[in-house]
Amino acid sequence: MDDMHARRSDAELEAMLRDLDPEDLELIEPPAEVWEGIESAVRTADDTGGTVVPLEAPRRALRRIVLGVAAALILVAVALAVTLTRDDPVIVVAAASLAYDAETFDVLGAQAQARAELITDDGRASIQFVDAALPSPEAGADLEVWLIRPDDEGGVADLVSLGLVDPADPGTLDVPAGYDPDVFFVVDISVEPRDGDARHSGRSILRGPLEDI
Amino acid sequence: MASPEREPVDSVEKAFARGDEDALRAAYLRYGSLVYTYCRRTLDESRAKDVTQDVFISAWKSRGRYEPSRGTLAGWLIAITKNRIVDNVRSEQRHERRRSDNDPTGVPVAAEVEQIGDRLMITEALRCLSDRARQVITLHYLDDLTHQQIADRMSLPLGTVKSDLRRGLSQIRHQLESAHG
Repeated sequence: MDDMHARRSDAELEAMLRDLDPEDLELIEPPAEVWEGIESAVRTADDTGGTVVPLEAPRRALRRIVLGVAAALILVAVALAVTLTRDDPVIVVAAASLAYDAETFDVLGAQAQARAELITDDGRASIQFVDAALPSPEAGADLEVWLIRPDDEGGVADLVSLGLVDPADPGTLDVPAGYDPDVFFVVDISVEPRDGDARHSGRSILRGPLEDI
Repeated sequence: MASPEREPVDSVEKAFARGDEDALRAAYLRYGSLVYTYCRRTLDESRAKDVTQDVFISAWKSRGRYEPSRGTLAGWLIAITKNRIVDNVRSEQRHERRRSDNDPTGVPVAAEVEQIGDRLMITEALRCLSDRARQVITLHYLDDLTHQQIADRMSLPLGTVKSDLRRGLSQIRHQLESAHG
């Protein structure tokens, strides 16, 4: 929390309240497809054990789960068919060889290595890790993947989290909607303590820029 | 403005932090309109839907980093939403500059986005108050009634009006601080 917002006086709060319009108090309900998109994305990508229950009635939900499993099996079959019939699926559009910086990175990354690939599928961008050897962080911490938009001097102008990654099975992480990998093109993996602070900890272990293939 | 007929805030926050089976759905039912309203007040409908989805998906993926003891879930989600909106606006501005030389004035920037977020956190704080306290606050600050006028209108002792106002301000401050954690 920055100091500016650490403590507001009663006068400041009262001024903010007096500045409210009645319409400020009215919230807009999101369209149904917003939850459907969340449910679909999390059900597909959730690799940390949580199960997402749909908003709809259980009977319909069960039918959807059955249909979802069937659809997943079909997708696996199609993916296998594509893999077996094509040498190169032509979905990797850029890649980054992630490197450790002994001067500025966390020592946990000294023996780490990974290659990050930017893949696109029907307009959706994801980062997948190959040839990864990632360390397990200390208890009470996780590894988190970020995309960085560098500034003109090579510093960090902006960044976005792609989520936590399992060192034993890094898998694939979606690039959030609204983020252009051409702009946020540096892949970073950091150690993040479970301290409730959503910002980057500053403890990077690997980093590298995506380059077109 | 009615209080949401949903699970108590405290249980939603703890369940979310634990990653309970129904927690994302409960959090969305409780805070989906808050996050979506923030997005709609700063972005067009299509981008607002995308960013709302993105906020809940990434919050769920990072739920291990949310600790109820350090701030409200509403504050955490609003802070994530603010960052996503600012990034989305800046990305749009970059594309706008590529398409033309026009300066996209009128598009909210970080300070304005934050101000809108603060207003929504006040709304959220008001939602968490009792009906009586919410009415007292609204009558005083939005309708400019004096303490005595509120006491007369609501048939309440003057001391109750003052204590409702004091507790309300305290709750609003707590919500605003959570949004910047």
